[in-house]
Amino acid sequence: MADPILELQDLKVYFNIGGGFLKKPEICKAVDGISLKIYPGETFGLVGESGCGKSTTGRAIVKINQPTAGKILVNGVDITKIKGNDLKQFKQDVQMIFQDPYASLNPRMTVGEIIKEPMDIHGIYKTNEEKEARVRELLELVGLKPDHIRRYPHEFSGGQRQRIGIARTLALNPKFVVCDEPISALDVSIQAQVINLLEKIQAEMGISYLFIAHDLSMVKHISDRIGVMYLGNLVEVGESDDLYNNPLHPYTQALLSSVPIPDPKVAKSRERIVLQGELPSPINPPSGCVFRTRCPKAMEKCAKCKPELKEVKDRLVACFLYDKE
Amino acid sequence: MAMLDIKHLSTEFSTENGTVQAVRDVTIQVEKGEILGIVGESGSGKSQTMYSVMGLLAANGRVAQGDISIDGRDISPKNYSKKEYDDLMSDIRGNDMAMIFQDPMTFLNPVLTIEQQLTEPILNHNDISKEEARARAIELMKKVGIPSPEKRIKQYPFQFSGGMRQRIIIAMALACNPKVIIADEPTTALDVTIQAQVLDLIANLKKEIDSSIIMITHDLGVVASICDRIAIMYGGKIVEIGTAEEIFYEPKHPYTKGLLSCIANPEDKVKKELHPIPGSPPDLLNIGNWCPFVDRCEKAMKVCKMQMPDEKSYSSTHSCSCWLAHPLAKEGNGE
Repeated sequence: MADPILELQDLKVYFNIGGGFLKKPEICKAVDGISLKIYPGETFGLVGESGCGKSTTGRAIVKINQPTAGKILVNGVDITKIKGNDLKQFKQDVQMIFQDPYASLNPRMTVGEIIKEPMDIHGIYKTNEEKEARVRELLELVGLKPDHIRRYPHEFSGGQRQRIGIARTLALNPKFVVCDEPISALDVSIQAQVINLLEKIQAEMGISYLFIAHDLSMVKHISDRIGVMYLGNLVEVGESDDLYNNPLHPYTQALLSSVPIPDPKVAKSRERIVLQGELPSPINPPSGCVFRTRCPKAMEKCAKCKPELKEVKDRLVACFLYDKE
Repeated sequence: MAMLDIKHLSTEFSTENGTVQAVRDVTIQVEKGEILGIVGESGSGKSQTMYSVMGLLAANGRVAQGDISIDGRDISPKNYSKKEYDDLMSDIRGNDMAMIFQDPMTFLNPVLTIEQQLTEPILNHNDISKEEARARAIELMKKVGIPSPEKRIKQYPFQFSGGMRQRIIIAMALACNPKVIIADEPTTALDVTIQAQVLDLIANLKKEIDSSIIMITHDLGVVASICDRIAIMYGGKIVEIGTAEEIFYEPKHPYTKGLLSCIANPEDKVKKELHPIPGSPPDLLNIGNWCPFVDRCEKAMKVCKMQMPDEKSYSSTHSCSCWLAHPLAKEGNGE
């Protein structure tokens, strides 16, 4: 197998909360030691409920959040400490698509200026004509009209704005794109347009995606492999069909059975595992396995030590139920 | 007789740029004890239809025409003076008709305890003492699955999580045993596992209390799991209505078919290609009196842009408004 384009080694991102004079700050363990590999041309889906650390992971990869510990290797180079030219190269290679197309575009800039900005910063085109030609090409690629270049974001609908955001992301020919809930702010009929566009771009440019979302049906549709996160930990990683058809971790099982199925016969007949209780706080996570407080199959052992992500059959699962002993 | 009967309802909003026809000639009956799902994209008029029924339109909105009645009692704004209508609706809201809103974070008043908020509708609509109202509130909290209600009733909304707040809102809606409950995207702001909890709760409550529930949502997965009947709205109109099975297995309207083919069903064994509907929803400002879907429809014909199609019934429960159903129609090519 080819070398991974992105590798996370025991990544931890902690935030200090509160604190002050004579008061110790509390530590929010948003991401608590996750390791994964993403290969070139692959789409890796990251799913989990709000507060599980999936967005923080994505933001750490593009260096918006500084990791507390662990390594992020892009093409084998640890990017947590790079500076100067390496950093500049990294920022060209790794880009991000944001969730809210209403907040991620500057309302005072024209579409042309928005897409041109990364090109200006990195100086990859010399003349204005070259830049403008590239902007028009990008607009066409994402399904907008080249003469939209002088318009402002407010003149566009949500789906079109997300296309502008995608065009900006592609301006530097990135190799790896973090998509942080790119479709959750869009209407159903528009979501499919954006998903198809992302797939088309991947086929043409060979980009790898980290696709972060809570909508499991879309994640399963677009991803080759899926990682399931719970409270800062990766609990299961596998090929998307295998994972969906035969989930191993009790949390994955519960999560998948909660997904609403758009088919009345299936939806009304199937058994749902309804989890009791709520997500614990990442400030004070449970000891041992973080899922044990809501797990229907929790054992004594689960409270004592934390399960490692281990290979079971063809995938990785962090659960004592699958220990051989 | 239908519990909630809406006939030819049209709602308009006057704005600086002209009149927005948010709801156009909508007719729906909701029977006792059923769950009706209203599905549509943002701006399709699904929420405004129900706000018109509840008398909760924004100041620039008005019900232009139509008759509304609940359990045989007429509540159409046109038949009353403004003062009479306001008095009537404050009696009906929270009593005969209650609403569950989308965002549990903003609906509750942050400076009042749950007890104050939950007993308010009970005290307003019933002639009982505070203690009795409190006992009733605790009973409601038990019903919606909040642990140790005696203790938690004294707490403030910030001490509850999103799912728990949504349960409080459901408890408030149930406070006076309403005949009709309108749920406006009740699970959109919640996580999937919490969404499953709340949907289970709604389905169980339906068995228990025998109210009619109207569920407004854009999520076809949600309606498939709990609704008996589904109405599909587009451009302020109901384009198709039928039982859940009829809508999912025998969709007639091109928009319904389009919606179903652009969502991913995780149960599919083979990866199917998504077929998005091209274009975006129509602007309801200055919309013409023809089929609202015509500009995005792959099978549009000339007549589609000339006249509004009639409603055609396929069964006693299933009907659809599309020119394709006309006996003389030949499928067009979208021109």
